[in-house]
Amino acid sequence: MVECDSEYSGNGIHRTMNTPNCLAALFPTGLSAPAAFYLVVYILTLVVHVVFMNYVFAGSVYLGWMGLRRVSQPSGERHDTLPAQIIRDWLPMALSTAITAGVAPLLFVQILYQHSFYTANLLLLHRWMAIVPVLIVVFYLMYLLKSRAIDIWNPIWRAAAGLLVFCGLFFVAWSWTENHLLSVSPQSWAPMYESRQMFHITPELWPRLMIWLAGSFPTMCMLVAWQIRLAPGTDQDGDQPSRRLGSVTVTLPSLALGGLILAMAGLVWYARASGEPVVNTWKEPLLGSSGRLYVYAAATGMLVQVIAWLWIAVIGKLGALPLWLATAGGLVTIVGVTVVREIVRLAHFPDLEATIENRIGDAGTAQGFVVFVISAAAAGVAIGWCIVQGRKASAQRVAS
Amino acid sequence: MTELFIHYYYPVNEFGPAMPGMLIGGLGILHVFLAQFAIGGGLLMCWFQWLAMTGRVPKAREFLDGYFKGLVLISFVIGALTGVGMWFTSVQIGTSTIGLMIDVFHWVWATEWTLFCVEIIAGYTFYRYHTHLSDKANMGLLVVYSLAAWGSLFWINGILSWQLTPNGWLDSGSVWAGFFNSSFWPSLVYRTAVSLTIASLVACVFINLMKDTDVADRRVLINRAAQFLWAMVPMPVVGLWYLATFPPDSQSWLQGGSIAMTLFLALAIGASTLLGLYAVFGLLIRRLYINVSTALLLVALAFGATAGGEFVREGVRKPYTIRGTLYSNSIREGDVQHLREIGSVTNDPYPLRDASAYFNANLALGAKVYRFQCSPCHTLEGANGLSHLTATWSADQLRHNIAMLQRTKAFMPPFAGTPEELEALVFFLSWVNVGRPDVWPWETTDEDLNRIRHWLDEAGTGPGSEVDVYRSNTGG
Repeated sequence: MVECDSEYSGNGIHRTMNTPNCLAALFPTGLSAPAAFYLVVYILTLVVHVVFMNYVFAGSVYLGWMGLRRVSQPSGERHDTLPAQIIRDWLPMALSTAITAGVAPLLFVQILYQHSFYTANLLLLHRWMAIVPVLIVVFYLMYLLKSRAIDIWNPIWRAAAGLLVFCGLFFVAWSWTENHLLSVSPQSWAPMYESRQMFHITPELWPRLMIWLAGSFPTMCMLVAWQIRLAPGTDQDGDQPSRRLGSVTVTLPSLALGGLILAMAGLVWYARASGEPVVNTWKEPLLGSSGRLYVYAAATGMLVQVIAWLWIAVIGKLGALPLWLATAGGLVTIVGVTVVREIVRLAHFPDLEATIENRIGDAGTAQGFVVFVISAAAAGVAIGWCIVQGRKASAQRVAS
Repeated sequence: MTELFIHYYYPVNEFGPAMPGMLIGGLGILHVFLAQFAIGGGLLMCWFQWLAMTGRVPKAREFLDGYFKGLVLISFVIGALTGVGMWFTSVQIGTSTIGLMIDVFHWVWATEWTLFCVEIIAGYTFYRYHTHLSDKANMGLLVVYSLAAWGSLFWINGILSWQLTPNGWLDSGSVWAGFFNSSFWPSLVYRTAVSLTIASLVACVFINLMKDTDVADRRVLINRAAQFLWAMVPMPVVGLWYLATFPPDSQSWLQGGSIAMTLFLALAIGASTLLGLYAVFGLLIRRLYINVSTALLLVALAFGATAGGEFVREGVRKPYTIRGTLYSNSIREGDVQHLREIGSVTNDPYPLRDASAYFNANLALGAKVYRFQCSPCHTLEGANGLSHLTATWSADQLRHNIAMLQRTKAFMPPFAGTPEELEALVFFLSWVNVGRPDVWPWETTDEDLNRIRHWLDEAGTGPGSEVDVYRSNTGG
């Protein structure tokens, strides 16, 4: 897809990439091919991050809720649902993966939107810098929730630990969302700086958070369903020896469908909260020829997910076909929504395209892409091998 | 041009009495220490896995179990998150610097990211499943983990060493000429040796914390872990090789030109020497047993040496953050002349946060110039405070010393503003130095401005070190 050469661009940096125009054609933003290429890489890496982030966030909500429901359990006992067991066990690794996966979009957002992203970071200094310590606390609480040591705790404290995990992650989600909204609001920058404001609360903030947070549930349910289905000892129909599977085929579809409905409600709220002038700025690019594709894709993906989860609820099994449907629908939805997010961002910011072009004029010519591709391929092989080892070990653990 | 310059300006945050460098320095030292522990730890675990597989050390498996748990709980959490924190902090402290680094090296960074992914997946696979995997598979996982961890050092080392010695990148713009710069290899070898040392010392702490292990078993494990301390033996030579690649002016800061840097270098060398002597004569030759207190003390010494070394590495780049390109106040070398013509804060869109504190426009202009050009490294009355540095200077001294800033102190960047801005800065600093009175008379004559203009022209727009080169070439 990408040709590489070593033509010297004359601005102190070598030109190495000539990206085909088809990438530019994918977006309704009028970006040049190199800019569109970076946008594609950004979106793809963001999608991977979002998948893990959804698992972590929705998982923390579910665990928090289960903790509250179990406050009447005596100390020393913990009767978890199957999803809660799985989530509790995998949450620290999922957070680690989400953070690692988040490094790549964090890198590419700095290529595309450097000035606005940095400015928003600087204006939200205190909360922005609090993200790292908050995540460290969340991380250790997740390990604590996973450990046997917490079983002897008073259930109220156990529930409090679960809620703190949720609160920490909510803080991070809120800070990122606010940072994004501030980054597309340059008229707010100077007044906010002058007045030492620490918050940028706009009408779009809460519905936007609601879309992300509610939308995380279908992804978490899909991943947990796969974890149950692929666990050694589960048969081809997704039947586990556990009698609790019956409740799983009710719980997971309920959570997924509830999340989808709330996310759709959040979309309507967001459009209404944004106000007509703002909506008009992104209406045209969003409903134009290529923008429409992603809106339809997101809507179709949601519809497919609704069908898949209803199917699972009706048959009472985590069947392969409905799970694949839920997976495909989920991925199409995430990709669609992520592209729509960028289209809305670009529409918010009339000068941003020119700014990106300016930035890409330098950044788009940096060398190293071939090394990255080779390294990514090698990493894919290594990760694949590790996963195979993990599967083998799981099978052996069950067998023994 | 104006469009470009608007993108020069960011909202500037101040951190009370702490200078911005202290924030990133503190976080950076912690992150580097933990990252190097993760790198050396991977290699050390490969060694212990081999000892376990070959039956040489019966307790090696138990050690591996505890050590890796520690590595996951410390390095995978705090180490990884302080890495993200480094980016966040870099944006706060050196916005233009991190921006330029990303522009030039983003594919290198993306390459490093692929290794992070491998590191995390291999690490967690070992962590979750090692008790159910064959020795061969476990060794495979540890090797993959170690290669990925060391590989991430390889890539980040190129970017960090480029900041000090960009070499061929300055002429050709080639990323690879900048990446494989003159300090790349000594820095890589040095950091690898440090990683092995830290891993070995931390292992001694973990060995002492193992349950159901008697002193004889611990002694065997400590003696094995201490083998990695042989890496300290060539460190003085590698260190000299590394220092030899520094630019001459950077070397001069270490040799007394900047007493703070000289002292931090002495701290790093002193701590490393003590550690090295104890490691070689105590742990390796006499095969002493050390308890947890001694092990922790040695880890603390290693941390001190790392802190000193990192401070020196950051400090010797002065007056640049990216040598030959970006000064430490985020002004590009090539833009100094332009800013002297149009004014450094003329296009700054951010108003002063405490505008009401300044009784006239000239004083406010001085405050803005201070914010843009000085506050990236200084405070007014706190750490590295300008008030402490200039309180005894007369107005004329201030004018002269700031106009010829890179000659006043060669590790300072040149002043990058108009004579009027410089005069406003002098007014602002003098006002601060006399206790910020409500009203204070200040007179500027055309002659003052002409003298400032003359001094600015005489100092030029290049770094102070160029003056030294000029002098040595002309015998001046």
